Amino acid sequence: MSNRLSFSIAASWVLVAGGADGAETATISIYTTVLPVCRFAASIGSDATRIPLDRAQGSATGAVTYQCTSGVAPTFAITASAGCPGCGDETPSAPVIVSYSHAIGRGMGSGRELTLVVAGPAPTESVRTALSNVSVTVSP
Amino acid sequence: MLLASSLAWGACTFSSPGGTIAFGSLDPSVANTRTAFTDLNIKCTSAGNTPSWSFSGANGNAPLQMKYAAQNAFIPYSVSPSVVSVTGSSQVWRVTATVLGTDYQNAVVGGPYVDQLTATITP
Repeated sequence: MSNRLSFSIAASWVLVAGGADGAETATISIYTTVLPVCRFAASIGSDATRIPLDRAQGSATGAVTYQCTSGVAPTFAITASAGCPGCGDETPSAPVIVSYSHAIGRGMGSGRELTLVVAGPAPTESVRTALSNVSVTVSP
Repeated sequence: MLLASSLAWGACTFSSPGGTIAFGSLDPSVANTRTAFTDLNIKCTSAGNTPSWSFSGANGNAPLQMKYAAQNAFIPYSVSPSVVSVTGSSQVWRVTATVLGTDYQNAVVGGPYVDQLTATITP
């Protein structure tokens, strides 16, 4: 009698486990992607900034830090400040990118900033004044 | 025998095959907390029974994480279940997944990052 009772209990547990097998689990697929973006570090969320230039004798230079998604190469577009009425024939040419760390983005977290350096010829004080600020955009 | 029968009577099983949780595209320059969810249907043999949930991921459990298919890169996430509705023996549960901004602000561009999450309910 005791053996029959034990067998019944054991069989019941097998039925419970067997009846639930497979139906007690469900599979959920989870996925995402990470966007390629670059932003200036001083104004995260912005893809444009102005770089104040240091107007030394003969040239104007400036630098700004930026960040990109890990693995993303930045593309910059640069323009000088508009106009120079007092420059005469010495119309200032737009500054050019000297360096941008030749880097691929390392992420948007703290300590992962890269540096963009721009410079332009500024032979006279008038031109240096005209180049007092440089507008830069970055993409993507 | 009676004990075993009562346990079986209170069991819950999935009546929907599974689901998909899509976070969409994450913007590391914003890096805010993102959530996404899927609803799952279950049926319990005893009305009012509330199942316990557990989760395991194909890319590990501590933490759960999505893996970049082409690289050895991961984005951690967490999940939590919550009941949406109960109608007799039928219940709808929402599984919400969460990704923290700090967990993807330095993530490698692209993807997809994928995980297969197995949800288990007991009893």
